[in-house]
Amino acid sequence: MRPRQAIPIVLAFLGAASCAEDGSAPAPPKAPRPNIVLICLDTVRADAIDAHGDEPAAMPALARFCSSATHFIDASAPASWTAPCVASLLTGLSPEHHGVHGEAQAPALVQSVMTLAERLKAAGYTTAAFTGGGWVSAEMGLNQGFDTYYGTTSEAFTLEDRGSHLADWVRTCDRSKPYFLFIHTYEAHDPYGRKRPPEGYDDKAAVERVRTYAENFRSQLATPPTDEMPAGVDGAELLTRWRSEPLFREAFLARPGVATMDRIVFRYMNATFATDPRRPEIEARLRARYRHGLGLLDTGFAKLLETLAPIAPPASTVVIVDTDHGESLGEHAFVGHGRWLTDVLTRVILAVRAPDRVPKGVIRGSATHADVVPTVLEWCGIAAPADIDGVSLLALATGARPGRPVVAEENRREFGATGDATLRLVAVRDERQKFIATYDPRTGLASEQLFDLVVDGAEEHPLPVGDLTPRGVAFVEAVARVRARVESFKSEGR
Amino acid sequence: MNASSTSRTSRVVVLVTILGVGWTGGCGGKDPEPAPVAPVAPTNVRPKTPRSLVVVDLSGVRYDEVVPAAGTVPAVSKLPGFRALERQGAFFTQAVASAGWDAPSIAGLFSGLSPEQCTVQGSVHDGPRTMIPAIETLAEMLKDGGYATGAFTAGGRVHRHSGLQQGFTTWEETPDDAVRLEKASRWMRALANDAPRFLFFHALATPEGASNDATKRAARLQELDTLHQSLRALADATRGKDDAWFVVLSDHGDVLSNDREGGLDAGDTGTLDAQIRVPLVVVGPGFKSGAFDASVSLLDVVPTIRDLLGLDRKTLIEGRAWTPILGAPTSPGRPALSMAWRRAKTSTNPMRQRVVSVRTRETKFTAEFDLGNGNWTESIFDLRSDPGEANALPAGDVTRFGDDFARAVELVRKSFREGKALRNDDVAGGYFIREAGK
Repeated sequence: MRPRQAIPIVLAFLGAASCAEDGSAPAPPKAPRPNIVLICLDTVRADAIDAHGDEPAAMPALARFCSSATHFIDASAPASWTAPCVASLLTGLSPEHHGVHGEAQAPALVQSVMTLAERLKAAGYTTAAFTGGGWVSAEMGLNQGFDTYYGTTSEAFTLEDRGSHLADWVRTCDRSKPYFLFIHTYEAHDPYGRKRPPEGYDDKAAVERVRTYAENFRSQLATPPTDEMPAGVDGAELLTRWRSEPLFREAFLARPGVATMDRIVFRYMNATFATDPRRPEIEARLRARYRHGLGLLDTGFAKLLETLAPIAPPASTVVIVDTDHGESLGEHAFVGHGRWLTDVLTRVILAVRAPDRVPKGVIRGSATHADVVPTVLEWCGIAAPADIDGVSLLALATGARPGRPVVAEENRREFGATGDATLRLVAVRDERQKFIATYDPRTGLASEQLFDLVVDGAEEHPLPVGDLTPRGVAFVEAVARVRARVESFKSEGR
Repeated sequence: MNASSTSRTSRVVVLVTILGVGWTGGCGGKDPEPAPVAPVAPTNVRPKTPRSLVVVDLSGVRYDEVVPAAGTVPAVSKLPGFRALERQGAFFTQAVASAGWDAPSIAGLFSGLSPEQCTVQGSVHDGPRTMIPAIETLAEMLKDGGYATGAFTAGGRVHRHSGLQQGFTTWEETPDDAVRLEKASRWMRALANDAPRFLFFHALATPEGASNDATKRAARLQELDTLHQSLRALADATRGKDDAWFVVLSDHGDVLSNDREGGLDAGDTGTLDAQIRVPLVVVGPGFKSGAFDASVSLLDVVPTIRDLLGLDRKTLIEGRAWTPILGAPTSPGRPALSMAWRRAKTSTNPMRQRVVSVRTRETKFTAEFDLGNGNWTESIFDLRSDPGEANALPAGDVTRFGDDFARAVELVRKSFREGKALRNDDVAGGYFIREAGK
């Protein structure tokens, strides 16, 4: 690791030295360092708290939280799936710099990277995490710095579990020290609906039907399994059930594994879904099921706040709610997340309840997950390291600085006549516009798209890129960085 | 940040730390909150006797191509340069790379970290993995210590965006050996005589588009043998004969057609000795001439140089300094880990198989983990009687091979059981060193 730790020490003591020189005027007493509760709601679209016509918000409790908090409504994610997004949230680094990224899989966070939990623990905090495991498991290296980490591939936290594991921790945590509590939950993730136990598990006939389907499916798979859709399988049915039926998904948990199934489904979407005449009804079904899952999550979220209430008095506790990424429900002929950088995937909810520490209300201006680490450190009186990518949100919240364009990256496997390849996508987004570069290693070329998000929020009408000067200095500079990044891919691809 | 500003920062740290302590006492007030504890900063970044370091990486040269006695490959030729190195320096006969291809292996060489800890892993076919900035490299360390740092690479995956460039103030890529040598020469000669320098020179045993035909291979080895001699002469001429540590190594071996592994689709897909056992010679102060039969890893280069320079760095390092070995020529060394990744041709799932080996000079444990079904197989090879690794034996209880070996194997098994990356905190008192700083 680089010796970047020197800078915080210097700054901390320089602050102290200025007090000493002042002599007669000691610095005002520091506000007590707050408890930090960071709640990550996986796979929740930014519009989950919005009413749509006659339809009320899918997550009313979360909407109430946001309206009582500082809500960064232009926040977006640095990627569109869990591993890179949560790693950014916990390190303050972009995926390029923490290294936890890839197409539908990622390596673990390496030990050389300092996490927020490590920094807070070093500053005297008690640290605990309760996560849904998977990409947020201890195996992914995200447990670095946590005294307590509940969330592995075999033991995962859900909001329904809070009565046991989290509540135990709440009852027994050391209240003489401030704490950092990280909570992550997959409740909204596909398959949409209740997963433990899966909805319909007590319907024997339904269980038998999905078991038969799974056995038939397995029998048609090549050995070893490939990503090709087996002959005779209805891709539309597979997509719908795979995404929206927890019981159906359960039947495939053994073999072939989820990763193989996910790729088979992805290949169907890539090749066929856009033109499938049943697409409207499939999308309607998936939207309804996703909304159902959000409802369950919202109930759990409300109860979670109740569970934490005894140890989280608002005056001394900062509560941050972040949705790591969104979900595409048919937009751009895609259902799921990862692989693309459309707004339905990267726009997120980021809200902070910190009375007396940050003004309440809706805050405009781009922000991202990496900004959470320096923000928390500022509240805790710890100078942020100079070489993390995030910037504290406090100045944005008080209007002292504008938003900063947010860079996001993704990878997408493409299947084509000239061979398969993993495309590299890099986007830069602010509240008005988005620029996306897509690099294809087969050709060594990058295509570029520009969207005006004010008039084309669905990103269906790309504009000529041309001269970007009118789009603002910060955006132009960010685009230049994106292009430099894409240039670097050309070296990598040799 | 340039070298001088970094070292200034370090000095300021010490000064301000003292001031800070003084101020706290002077105010007399007690802070009700525990003071934020910042991570430990480096305390000594400037070597007392800065010696230059020249590392010549003849990428792809197998150990058994440069050592006639061990030769199983007909391409072995006289290689007078290597014969001279054998007489002049420490010739490590059991050195292995952390991976069988250049990107992860060089990342390990530069960082002292295994592939899963330096963020460069996967097979050649899995696409790029860039070493992230949080990893401290040897070049950064030396630059902070006042060194001029220059890398002259043949390109390919050792390029300026790979993360491997971190810490090099000069980075040149060109496939032509002669052009690269000329550039390195100009760089060395342009430096002030008293400036310590770190030169990394990279050459390919199999240049892009070349074949491994035996005759051509032998000719290429001759070229590389001449090349490292030229670099040695350059190092001697530019800063004095006794100044530099001159290191010749290869970051990985290669699959040649007469090997058992020839049926695999690439040389990077395994941890056979053909792929990971490499030549390693060090000439310079502290390195007695002669053969060292201890098991060592290229991951050990960073901690060794750091120790020799007296640098007190607080970073995560997995390699271990050779200092004890240098004083005890018969030392067995310690088991070395190497990794490889295979990709099923029928799947888009990269890194389908993860291969990890634990190697001593007598024994190799190799485990192949299938990411598709979570199963793995284990083999033991007796390298003395079976150097070609043709006769796999069941692994079973490995304590018969010694505690160090058993601990390293347990590290691998645990990582497979739990689906985790190899991590240094997995085994109590285990294989990796976790130094202070985090």
